Amino acid sequence: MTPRVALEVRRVGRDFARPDGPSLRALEDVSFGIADSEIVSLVGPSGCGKSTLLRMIAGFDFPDAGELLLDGKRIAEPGQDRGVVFQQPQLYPWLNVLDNVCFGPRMRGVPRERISEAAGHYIRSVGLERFESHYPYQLSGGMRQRLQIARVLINEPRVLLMDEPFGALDYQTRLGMQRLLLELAAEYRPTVLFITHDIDEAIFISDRVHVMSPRPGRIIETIEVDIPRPRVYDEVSASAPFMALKLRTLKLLAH
Amino acid sequence: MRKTAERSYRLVSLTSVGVVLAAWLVASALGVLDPNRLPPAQTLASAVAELVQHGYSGKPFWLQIAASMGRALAGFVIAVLVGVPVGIFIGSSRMFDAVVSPFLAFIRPIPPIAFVPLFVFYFGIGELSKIALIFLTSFLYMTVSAASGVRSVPEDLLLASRSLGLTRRQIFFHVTIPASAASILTGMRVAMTLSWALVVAAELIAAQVGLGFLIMDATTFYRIPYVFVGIITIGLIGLALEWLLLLAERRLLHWRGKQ
Repeated sequence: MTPRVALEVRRVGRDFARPDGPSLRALEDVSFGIADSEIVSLVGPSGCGKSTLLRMIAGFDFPDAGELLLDGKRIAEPGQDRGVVFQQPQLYPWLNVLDNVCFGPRMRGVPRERISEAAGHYIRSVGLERFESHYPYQLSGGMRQRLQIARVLINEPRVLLMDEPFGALDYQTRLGMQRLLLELAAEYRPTVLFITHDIDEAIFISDRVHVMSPRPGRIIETIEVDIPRPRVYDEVSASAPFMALKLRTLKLLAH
Repeated sequence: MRKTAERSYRLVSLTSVGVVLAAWLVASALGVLDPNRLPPAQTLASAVAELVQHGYSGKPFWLQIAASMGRALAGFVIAVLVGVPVGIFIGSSRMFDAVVSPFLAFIRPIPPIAFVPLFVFYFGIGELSKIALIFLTSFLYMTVSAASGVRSVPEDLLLASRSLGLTRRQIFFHVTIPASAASILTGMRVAMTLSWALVVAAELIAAQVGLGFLIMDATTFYRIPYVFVGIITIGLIGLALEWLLLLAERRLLHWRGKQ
C-alpha cells in the first residue's frame, strides 16, 4: 500500500525579472511529492532556489511554470494548512509565550477551552512549560524557535514548511532542536518539507533528501535515507550507512 | 557594571544641577543679584507667592497654566486622533502616500510660528487659532511616525500571520497596528513636547491669558521676576509631560528594541 501523497510539486519553474538584461532563472523543472507523515529535505548551495520553492508552497510567491498541489488542490494563497517555520522566528513581540501560541486559533475563532488545552499540550511538547508568561525577548534563540514551532503545530497544518529553521543556532542548540524535531515527528507524524544546507542535518532527520544544483535549481538526485527510526544522533552519525549517504551527497554537491 | 556606571552618571547630573542652584542661592544671600536682571531666590519666592495669591492681570495663576495646557492638549489630542489614522493609511497605501506626501513634505519644514499671523487672521485671537497651529504641527509629526511605524513591520511577520490563517483585516488590526505602536508612541512623545513649546510661542504673539502671554506681558511692564517664574513653570511642566509619556511608553512597550 502506498501512502497518500500530501504535497505535489509538478515541473515547477520560476524566473525573476531583472531591470537590466534577461530574467534570472531560479528554478527549473522541479518535481517531487511528499507522502503523509514523510520528512523530506532539500539541500543545495545558496541561491539554488530552495527557499523560493518553499515560499511558493507557502503561497507567498507563485511559479512561472508547473503547479503546486496540496491534497490534489492547487495552492493559491497562504493558509493555515501549511505551517511555515522561518529561520528568524516570526513571533509577536508584544505577546507572551502562551498568547503567541494561542494567537492563530484565537483569530480563527476556535473555542476558548479547546485553545487553552491544546496550547498547554504543545507548549509542553516543545519544553516551554515553565516560560508561558515570558515574552519573546526574554527567550534564547533556541527557545524562540521552539515557540515558533509550537505556534505552528497548534494549527495542525497538513504540511510543515521549515526554511533552514536551525541555521542561525549554535551547534549544541541545533543538535537539541534536531532531536526535538524527531520527537515531535514521532508524536504527531507531521508531513515535513525541510530546507537546509547542513548535509548531516538533512540525512539525520529525513526519509528522503533531494539534492539540488546551483542556479537554475534542479533536483540532481534523490537520496533515500533508510536508516531506521528512532534515530539517536551519536549512534547514527557515526554509522557506516550514514557516512556513505553523506559522502554521496557531498560528491553530488561538489559538482 | 553598566548599571553602576548609569547610576554614577545620574549622580553627576544631580550634582551639576545642585552646584548651579547652590551658586545662585549663595549669590542671592550675598545680595549681588539685580532683581530685574537675574532675580535672587527671595525675589522669585515672593513673585511666586504673589502670583499664586493674586494671579496675573486679573486672572489666577492656575488659570494661566490651565489655559496653556488646555490649548496644547486640545491641539495635540485632535492631532493624534486624526494624524495616526492618516499616517497608517499613508504607510499602508503607496498610492495615498504618493498623493498626499508632497504636500506634507512641503509644509513640514516651515517653522510653525510662520503660520501664527495667518491663523490669527483666519481664526481670530481666541482659542481656535492656537489650537489649529498646535494641531497642524503635531499632525504633521504624527502622520510621519505612524506611517514609518506601519512600514517598519517586518514583511515575514505579515506572511507568517497569513500562514496562521489570519484574514487581511485581522492582520491589520492585530499585527500591523500593535507592531506600529512603538513608533506611534515615540511620535506622540515628541509631538507632545512640540505642542507645549509651540503653545507658549503662539501665546507670545497673540493671547490674553496663558503662560506665554504672562511672560510677554510681564516683560513689557518690566516685571522680570514674573518672567522668570513663567519660564521656570513652562520648563517644569514640559519635563513632567515628557516623563509621563516616557513612563507610559516603558510600561506599554516593555518589549520594544529587545528582539
